[in-house]
Formats: sequence, C-alpha cells, structure tokens
Amino acid sequence: MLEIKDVNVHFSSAGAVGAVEDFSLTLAPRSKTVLIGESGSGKSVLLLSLLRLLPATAQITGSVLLGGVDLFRLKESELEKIRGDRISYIPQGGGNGLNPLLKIGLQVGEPLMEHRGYPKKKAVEASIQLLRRFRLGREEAWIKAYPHMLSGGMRQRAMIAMGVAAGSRVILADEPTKGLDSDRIQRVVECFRELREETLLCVTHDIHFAQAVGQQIVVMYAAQQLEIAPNGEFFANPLHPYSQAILRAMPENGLECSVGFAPPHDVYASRGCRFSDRCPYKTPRCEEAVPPMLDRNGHKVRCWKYAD
Amino acid sequence: MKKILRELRQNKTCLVGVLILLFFGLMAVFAPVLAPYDPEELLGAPYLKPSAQHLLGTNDIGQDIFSELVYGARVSLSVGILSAAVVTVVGSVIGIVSGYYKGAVDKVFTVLTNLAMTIPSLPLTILLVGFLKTGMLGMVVAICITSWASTARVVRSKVLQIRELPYIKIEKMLGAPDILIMFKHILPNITDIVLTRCAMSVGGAMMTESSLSFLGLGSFTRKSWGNILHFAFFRSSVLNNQWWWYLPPILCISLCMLGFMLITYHGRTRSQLIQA
Repeated sequence: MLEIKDVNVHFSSAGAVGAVEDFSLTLAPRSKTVLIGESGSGKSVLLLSLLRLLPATAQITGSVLLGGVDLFRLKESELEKIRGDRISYIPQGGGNGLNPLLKIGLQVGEPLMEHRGYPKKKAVEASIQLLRRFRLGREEAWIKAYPHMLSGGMRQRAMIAMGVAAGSRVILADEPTKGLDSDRIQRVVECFRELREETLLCVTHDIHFAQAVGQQIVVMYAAQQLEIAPNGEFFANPLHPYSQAILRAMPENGLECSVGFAPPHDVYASRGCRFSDRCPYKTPRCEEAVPPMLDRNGHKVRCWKYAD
Repeated sequence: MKKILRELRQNKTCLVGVLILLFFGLMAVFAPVLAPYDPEELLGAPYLKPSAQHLLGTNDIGQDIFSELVYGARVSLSVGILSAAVVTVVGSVIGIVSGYYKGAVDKVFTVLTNLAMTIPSLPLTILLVGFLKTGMLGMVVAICITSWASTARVVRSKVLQIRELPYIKIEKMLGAPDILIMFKHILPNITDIVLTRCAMSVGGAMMTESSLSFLGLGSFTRKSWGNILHFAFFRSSVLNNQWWWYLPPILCISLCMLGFMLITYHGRTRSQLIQA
C-alpha cells in the first residue's frame, strides 16, 4: 500500500508558486488509480516527487508511506534500492525511454541484473517472458533487435515490460499513451489490465484511457486535487463543476466546451478556489477561501457547492 | 565490421586517412624488415648523398637516414598513441563525471580544466621533461599533463546534453547505480566524440613530441622523427642544402598528422551506424 499525505512541491526558481499543493491519496494494494488534468496541473511533478527525482530546486514536504516507511525520510542510497525494485516508473510514450545502442532484451532484462542479481544471459532469457506477457509477438526475435527497429507502440510496451521487470509492486506511469493512435492505445490498455498483482498510479490526458484502466479517478487542476472518486461513480455522477465540464466536452457527450479553453492563469495568487474564474456556479464564497476536500461517502470533492 | 568497411568505401576522406595511417603503421611494425641497415650502426662515410645503397644518404656520423626514418616511426607513433590513450581516458572520465553529477563536483573539475587550459602547455612540458626521468614514459606524462583539458571540456558539454534524454533519466528512475549509467549508458552514446578527440590528440601529441625532440629534449637513446630533425638542423643541413636529410622527417610528421585529422571526418555516431 502506498499512502501519499499532504505532499507539497515548490520550486525555488518559480517563487512561492506551488507545483503540487496538499496532495493526499491512498493507493490500495492491486488498485489502479488514474490521475487526469491539464498540462501544467502538476501531475508529472507529483509522480517524480514520489521517488524524489525532481531537480535540486524543488522543495518537497509531506510524506509518502510505502509499507510504513516514509520515502521522503530515506537516504539517497536507500531510495536507489527502492526505485525499480519496489516502485517502478514508466516514462512518457513514444519510446524515447530506450537506449538506441542496446538491444531490447538487454534493456528489458537490465532491472533484473541490477535488483535481482541475474547474470546477463538469464536476464535476457527472462526478458522473453516479460515481452510475451505484453504480447509483442515474435519475442525471441525482438530481444535481439535495436529500439529503432520497433514501432512506437511496441517500444511503449517494451518499456512497460522493463518497468515491471524486477517485479516491483507499485508502478508509476507518466502518460503511457502519449503519441499513440487509438489502436495502439488499446494495446496499452490491455497491458495495464494485465497488471493484476501490481498497484498502478497512472497520469494521463486521455479520458477514455482513464475510464478503461482506472478503478479510482483523481482530477487535478492548478496544482490541487479537485475530485477523487471510484471509476463508475466519477463517470456517472461527477461532482466538481470542472469534472462535469471535462465530461461534457467529450465527443460522445456533445463536445460542449462550456468553460472555455484558456489554461488557468493568475489563479495561483487568488485566495479562493482555483477554478472560480471559470466556474459557472461561482458564489462570493468561492473567491474568499480554497474549499476543503469534502468526503461524500468515499467520493471526495473540493468545492463549496457541497459544503452544506 | 562490414558496416565500417561500407562506411569507408563511401567516405573517401576518411579512407585516405586510414590508408595513410595504415602505411605508417605497417612501416613501424615491419621496421626491421624494411630498413636496410641498423639505424645506430656507423657505416663509415658521413654526409653521403642519396644513392642506391643509401636511399636518403647518411647523416653527420655516417648512419643511414632512411633506416633512421623507418625506425623513427615506431617511437613517434607509440609516444603519440600512448599519450592520446592517457589523454582520452583521463579527459573522458573527468568530462563524464563532471557533466553527470553537475553541481559542486562539476565546479571543481571545471576550475581544474580551465586551469589546465590557460597554462601555456609547451613551456610547462619543456620544464617537466627537464625534471622527469628521460625516456618515453616521462615524455608521455609531460605531454598529458595539460592536454586532457580540451577532451574533458568537449565530453562534459555532450554529457550535459545526453543526461537529460529520456532513456538516461529512466535508468535513474529504475534505480540503476550512477557508475552504470555513466559508463554503460552515457559513454557508448558519446563514442563518436571520444574517438574523434582521441584521433586529434594523437596528432597533437606527436607534434609535441617532435617539438621536444627537435629542441633536443627528447630521448637520445631511441630515434624519433623529431630527433632526426634536431640533428639535421644543428648540423646545418638547411644551409648545406641537404634536403634529403631534413625534408623526409617533416613530411612523415605532417602526413601522419594529416592521417589522424582525416579519420576524424568519419562523422557518424554509433547509433547512426547501427541504424545504417
């Protein structure tokens, strides 16, 4: 189980503006959580902060408990053992995450050599099984290929295989479907559904992907969480005006862009709700204070509308 | 290997360089077969003009100049290659470490690099050769003492760029130790630059060796091309118009350096070779 408590990330280079504010989330074992939000809302920064992989200018507070151990209190050398071993990271799509000079088998098997002490030959053999799990097809041939010989979708699946290679139970994925067409996205969805033993936290812009993969949906906007809900509940009955607007803007729901396209701007300075300048239900109270995270039978929402 | 040969057929500039170096390399290896006399042997008559017996005549104490030249390839090339190897290893390691870690480590190494670059290298080398034990090893140390800096600087800037690429960053995320990231993932991706710098430093080192030998600071026990030049000039071969004495070593040095320059024009990274 991974428990994220009150994580705040500030960049000293960006003044007092927070990149992530008061982020709290509990990931149950073997659960799949999808984090959606606009570009710049702090999703990727949050993922990187969990493994303390942000540049030195980032100041991180809060705690991340993995099996009772706070990752933020660990030494760098101890954290190095956890990365890839107990928590893995799958980077953004397109397949740039593979070294162009190393053959697929060696790269996919590398975490096994590092964390499980496999000899090279055994690791490469094990990579066949890993790739087979994600249905690359002709796995024996592909492990001898260089990354440029694979298609973008295959590289993405190879990277997922690399991420889960060492058997880590928590997988963090950053936009795994970026730059892929809908057919390839479907393959990635199948890959993620394959992960039955692992706990997944996945960042995406793709609402369909979120619906297909996530059991729990988290919405982020301007560095804050706006809504946390189980999948069915979220898509049937979104509470936050922003979530409602997102879902209404989906093609099958009529492409209605009621809140406009403008990215959040200057909202970080305001005392009130970050979404208030675009919100159709705005009341004076919304501009006075940031609403607290309200829990309505396990469906959490940050909106004054539900405060009473 | 096949790809390298195909690459050479297409890249004529590089091919010429390889042929020149092959020529001198074979000359150095087969020196005992090629040279008609022992270069140390006193054959009697000094200052002989070129003839069938002595292709390039004899020098001031009656040694065969052609044999000197052939054996000289051994000393000149081995000093050049040995120095370049040291320069490349030291420069690359410093460049990679400082580019990868950035921060305080980088600052220290950058100061060291700048220092090594600003010190006038030839006077320092001359000074060092004077104090160190004579012989090839002392020479190599003296040549390397400052020349690693430019390699380190070029490698560092390339590493700064490579370390930000996704496939390097993911290694950190998957918990790979820094040593592994630096030497298994970054180094192979900068081999083009490292090898190019290496070829360039061979030329540089050979030039320095020749300069030192010409000034009379080289090894007197083993003859290099610079050493031949030294005696040619100080025994007035230019005034006496004995071109067969001073011109051949100059040509050898220049051609050799040209060869090393030309092979740097290969211009292909390893990933381009893999994808070719």
